[in-house]
Amino acid sequence: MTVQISPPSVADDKIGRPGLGLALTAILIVFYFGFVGLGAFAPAVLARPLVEGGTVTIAFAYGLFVIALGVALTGIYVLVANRAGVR
Amino acid sequence: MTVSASRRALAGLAALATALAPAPALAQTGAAGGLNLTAIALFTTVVVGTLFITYRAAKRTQSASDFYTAGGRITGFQNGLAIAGDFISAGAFLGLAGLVYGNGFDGLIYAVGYTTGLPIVVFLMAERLRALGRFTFTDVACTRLQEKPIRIFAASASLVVIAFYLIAQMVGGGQLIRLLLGLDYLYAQFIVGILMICYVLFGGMVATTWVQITKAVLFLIGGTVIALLVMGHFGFDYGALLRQAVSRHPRGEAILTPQFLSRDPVSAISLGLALMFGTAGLPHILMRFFTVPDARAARVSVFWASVWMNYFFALVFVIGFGALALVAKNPAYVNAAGGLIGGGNMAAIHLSHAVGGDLMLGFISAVAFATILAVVAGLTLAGATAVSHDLYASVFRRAGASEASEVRVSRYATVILGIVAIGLGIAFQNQNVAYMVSLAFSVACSSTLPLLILVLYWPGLTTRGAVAGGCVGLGTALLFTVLGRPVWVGVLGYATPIFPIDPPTIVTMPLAFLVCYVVSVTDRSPQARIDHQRSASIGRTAPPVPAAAE
Repeated sequence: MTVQISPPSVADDKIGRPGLGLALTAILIVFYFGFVGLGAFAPAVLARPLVEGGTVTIAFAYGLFVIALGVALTGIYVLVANRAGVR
Repeated sequence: MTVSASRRALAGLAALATALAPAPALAQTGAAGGLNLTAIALFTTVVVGTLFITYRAAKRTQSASDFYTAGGRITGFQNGLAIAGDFISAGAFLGLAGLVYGNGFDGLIYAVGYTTGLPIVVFLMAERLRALGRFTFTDVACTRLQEKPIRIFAASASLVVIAFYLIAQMVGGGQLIRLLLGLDYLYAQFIVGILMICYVLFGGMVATTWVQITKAVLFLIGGTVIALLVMGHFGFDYGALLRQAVSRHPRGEAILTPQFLSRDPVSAISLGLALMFGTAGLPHILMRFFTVPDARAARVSVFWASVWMNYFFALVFVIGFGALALVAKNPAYVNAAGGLIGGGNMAAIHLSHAVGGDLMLGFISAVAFATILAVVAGLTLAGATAVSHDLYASVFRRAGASEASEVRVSRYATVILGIVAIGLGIAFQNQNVAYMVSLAFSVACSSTLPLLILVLYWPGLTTRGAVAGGCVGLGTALLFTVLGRPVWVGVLGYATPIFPIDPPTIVTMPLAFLVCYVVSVTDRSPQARIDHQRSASIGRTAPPVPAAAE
């Protein structure tokens, strides 16, 4: 049977770019495992309130930051890869 | 099966679903006491609506490539929504809200972890997978390694991962139906299972893609509305929301920061690994990258997927703690013992009723249920593909398997998987579904992921090394899960687990990589030479000419 869907185009030849992918992966790993690591080894840091006397802790801010970082890094990757594909 | 026969069967099923809904005879009560007809009517409408989409799509399913990957006709934005739809599963919504409800911020660790999975797939794999032009992880591995052993291993690993993921969805779906319709859990499981089989049998991937898109949009809208209503309840002051949540939880202020991470740092890092890298090994996620026409559209689709998915997981910050603030200690939603009516996964469903009344309850239940069906259908399809395409067509019936017979085997496999799913859903009925999803991730991380990474990045991998490493990873992940908390304590009921680390990823994932490496570098078999030659000729620089017509 034919399982070939959407054959690779010329732009697809550039399957390299491992540098960019690996760099972005490293950034995400550092910040995400920073979060997990703080929770595991220094929970007091995450338990501090974000604003003095407030209820929202640093844990919430850091968690949301990791979520936003995922979108931002994906956006950077797609922009760079699609630019390279057009050229 | 002919199209007209399937059309008739589906129409019959839709009628059955309509007939079933208003006539639940069994004892239990709905969320607000007694049967909630408004909610049930809305629920039935949305579920029948998604069945209709499946039915329309069924008419367009022409060839095997239509059945598997929607014929590559989906646009980038649409596919992005569909990928997001795959992630915004019952595990995400019901399970995470339930985890936060029970454990406070600990539940959000899972929410944050889930968002790190897709970027990893994009950065490390999507590009290379597409460039190879293959549409399952197995096909990719077979471009370089000997086909038969790889396909057998890959199909087995996929089936195990799919089984764990299926459990989560089946439990969520069963609890939802039980709560909403007041049916016994057993009957609820059968309804979920049968509807799911019909989805896949009559629609294939076109249907699941369209159902995913529809449902992702509905879910994003529903989640946003609930979050806004919850925030409105507290005058848009997140601090006030948290203060009330703290006052309702026995552990008080402790719920505002991670707790279990510091209690068991090894398991914490293990969980982090599983959540981050597990996604990349999930078979049904990888398939989605092939439903768009070109690489550019594929990239655009993953960007949109990450936007919608991460937005949704951010909503859990409000919905989870909102459930704690508004549902806990409210006699309408908790029973005499203080537990949630309908089970621990139902916190978000109760919250929708607390802030939006019967209409919101019906709407959210319906969307959650449609989500479960669609995710389950996607999983089942991936499982059926593993059986029909990897095992049947390529291994057992290599010479004679026609496209028609492959599609037929795939349909049989779907029915069998559906029956297995019903059984597993019954066995694991009291587990939190987000937690079950993390187990699927941990198995994927230890079996399919190491192979995939090494096939894409390391030319030295040989067939023997790949199969040995993959089998060791899969076997140990499975064994330690059974001997660990999830099965040994959760299902079999023993007091303490034999294997302490939960999930076992931190041990099993490096082990799989290590065995792959050691066996590959010591492999002197004739096949190893062939593997090296093939990887030298294709692997790294240009995509191979795809060997179509297999």
